[in-house]
Amino acid sequence: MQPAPPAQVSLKAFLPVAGTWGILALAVVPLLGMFLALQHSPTLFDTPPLALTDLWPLVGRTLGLALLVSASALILGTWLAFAQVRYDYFGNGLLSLLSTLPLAVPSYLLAAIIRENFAPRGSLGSLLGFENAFMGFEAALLVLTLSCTPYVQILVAAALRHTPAGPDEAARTLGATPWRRFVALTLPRLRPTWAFALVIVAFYVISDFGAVALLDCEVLTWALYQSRHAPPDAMRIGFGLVACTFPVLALIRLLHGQQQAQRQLSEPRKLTKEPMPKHLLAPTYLAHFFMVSLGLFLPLITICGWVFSGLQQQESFAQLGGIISNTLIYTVTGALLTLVAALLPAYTLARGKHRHSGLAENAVYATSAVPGILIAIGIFFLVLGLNRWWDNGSGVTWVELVESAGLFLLFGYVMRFLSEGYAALKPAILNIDLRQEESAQTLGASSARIFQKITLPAIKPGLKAAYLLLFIAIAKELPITLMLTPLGKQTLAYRIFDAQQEGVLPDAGLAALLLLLMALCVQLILLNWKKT
Amino acid sequence: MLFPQMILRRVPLLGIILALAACSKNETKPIKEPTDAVAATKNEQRDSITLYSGRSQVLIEPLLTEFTQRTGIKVDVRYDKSTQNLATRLLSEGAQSKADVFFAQDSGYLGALAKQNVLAQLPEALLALVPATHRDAQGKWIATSGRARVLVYDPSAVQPDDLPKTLSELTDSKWKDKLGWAPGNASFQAHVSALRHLWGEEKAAEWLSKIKDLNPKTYPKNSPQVKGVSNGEIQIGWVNHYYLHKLKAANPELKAANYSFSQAQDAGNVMMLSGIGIVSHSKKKEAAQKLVEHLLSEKSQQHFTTKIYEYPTRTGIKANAALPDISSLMSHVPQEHLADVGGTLKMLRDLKLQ
Repeated sequence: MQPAPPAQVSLKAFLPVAGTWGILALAVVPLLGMFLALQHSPTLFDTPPLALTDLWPLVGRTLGLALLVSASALILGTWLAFAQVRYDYFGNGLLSLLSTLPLAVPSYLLAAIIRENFAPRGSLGSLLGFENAFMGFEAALLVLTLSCTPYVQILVAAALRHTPAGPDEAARTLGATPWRRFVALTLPRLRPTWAFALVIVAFYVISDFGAVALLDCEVLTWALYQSRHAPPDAMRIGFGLVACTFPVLALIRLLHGQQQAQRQLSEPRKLTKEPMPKHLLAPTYLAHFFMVSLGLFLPLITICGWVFSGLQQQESFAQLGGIISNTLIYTVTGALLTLVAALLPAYTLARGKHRHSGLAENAVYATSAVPGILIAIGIFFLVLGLNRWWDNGSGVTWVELVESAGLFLLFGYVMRFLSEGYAALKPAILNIDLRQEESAQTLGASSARIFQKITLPAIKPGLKAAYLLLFIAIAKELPITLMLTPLGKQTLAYRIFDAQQEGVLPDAGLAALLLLLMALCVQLILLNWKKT
Repeated sequence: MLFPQMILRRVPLLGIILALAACSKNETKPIKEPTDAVAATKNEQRDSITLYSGRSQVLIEPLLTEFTQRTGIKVDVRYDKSTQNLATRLLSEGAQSKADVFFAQDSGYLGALAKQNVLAQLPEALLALVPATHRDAQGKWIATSGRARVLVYDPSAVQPDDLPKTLSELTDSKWKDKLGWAPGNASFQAHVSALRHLWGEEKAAEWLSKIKDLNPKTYPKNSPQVKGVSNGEIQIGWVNHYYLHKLKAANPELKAANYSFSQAQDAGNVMMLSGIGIVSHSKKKEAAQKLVEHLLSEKSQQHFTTKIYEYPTRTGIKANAALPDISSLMSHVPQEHLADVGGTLKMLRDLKLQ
């Protein structure tokens, strides 16, 4: 084979790497804003700074919660995904879909509903004989597990669909039990996917804001909620949050192992589903029951109850047309931009070993550990700085135009959810059959045609999963939306939060129902896309 | 081109969402066209002002819609549930701020902004609409409505006669593990500022410390405390009065009742004020003033009390019949003391309550 001209090769190799680092460099932008916040932020009151000695216990509890939620979500999500993809049992399709829907319930809303229903006089608390409020670390563990397990289920199911049937069928022929086949064949293949799921789950927990505040679980973001008006404190807590990322990153590396080079060498023949062994039926239905009853039906019944009681009391509901269109515009666009931004680093880092690929990957992950409120503060102060610098007294500046178009909001979403998109996309890219691409290249196909005909179909399930995750995450997002949304625009997430906090439950219920319906629509669209 | 086709196929589903929204009743419909309404001209329609509101959208949106329909002035609103965040934002933006009017859930932040010259002087005629206790001494903000600090209790577990006669008595050990509070909440902090003024620093800190020893459950806000009482999580919460009425409007079965301390002028009986001020950098002060006038109009004041269950601040407006007359029980705290939030935050941090 004739070697390609050296200049062309180096340019081809250079551009994606440069693009990747360019995107990662953008992550520094909110940090620059946070620095400006520290330098220029005027304060309303002089308050004593948060002592570092108070910070470390919070770091410990934050890490403990992140690791426990990650472990429970990984176990539960993996089992649900495995059952969904490998076994045939009554109700599989519907139950698997329903088990992923808790994803659409904002964690602060789920926390409020769980706390209310598990209270001594709540529907479940009275049934279980609870005498005390259901709150604190254990309650946060339950709520965040319910919120995070669907992430794992979606990612692991996408990975399992790409597992070749051959080795499994051979092992079955040789008499290996399902458990043995799972441990020996499936688990090693799942390690990279688990590592990516851990990125999403652990960092989701570390940066979760509302659920821990509602459940009075003393972690770093709880402290951030208490002292959010003081930028110096917020920065100190931000430092603690970044400190939490290091052990998590180490764990991700450990879990990932050397599996990243494992690729499909040909289009895999898909595993055919087998009937589920009888002894696995009970735990499988139990896992579905746990997710669907507590994560979906309980919130659904509660919010329907709010709407119904509003109707009964002839309460008037707010008009939500404008709020829905805002939510759709920001969410559809934000998820798309984040997906595009995540695709370049995921593609570059999955396709080749680069000198600083480990560092680049860690940089992508680290963006997730920064809570939305800090990213929002960073971008906000940057906007103020830019406005100050650009303003020549002639009226509206370009910064204001960009702000009013919602571009800073979309940028905030991209920075906040970049690693979620990356973690969802990279396993799919690792599954691309390189030999097919090489054959196409040898036959003279252009890069664009190879991407369209080979690469895109191969990563389609990953793209679908990533878009779904990003869409729902952005639809629920609150701190960035609150701070960077253009004037006069509100979203459903804000409406739920606002109405629920004010005790206007019928409005909160209606907005929450619409958010769930939107998530369901996106699920159905993407399912249909996959089938076609 | 498969993806767009799929989206098109699912348009009916998205249509359901929009239809649901369209079917919902329009809360923002004006209450009634006022008799002195000024017909909006095409030119006025182009006017707009920007409001930074720490008051919830669900509470004030109908009033703003009515204002726009009456005057033709559009109101662009930036909402933030945290008045602290919004006040800090306004201060940080300085002259760059688009805000013309600042509407605060708690007057403490208005006082702090007034001290930093972020708010402009209001006209005397406007200030005269409310009693002197319901406005800034320098005339830079004015209260639009009030919320009484009360205890919310579980009537099935506690008889009103057993409740403490004064706030000081709440430290009795019989309430151990039965109380709830929200130290992160702005009204809580404003009430602590009031206690520091009424009792002095030492007694206020001692009282907080004793309550802390009773192991109260911490809530992020007031409304979850009311639900917590009804759900049996706690027997007593320390809240603003109006959450109970709003929650009961949606659920009459709620097992909770409000209680004001029976001793007159007790430190537990304090009125928290929501208020409004015009931003000093505003280039639309005339339109901004119209909005302030609108919120203090008889009709808006009626809205605050009948729909939101708050106490009106304008002289001569009767409070909602569902609200008890507690005016004789109230302690009066000069507003400048409520604005000393910094000292309160320091006290709360020293006591590890922040």
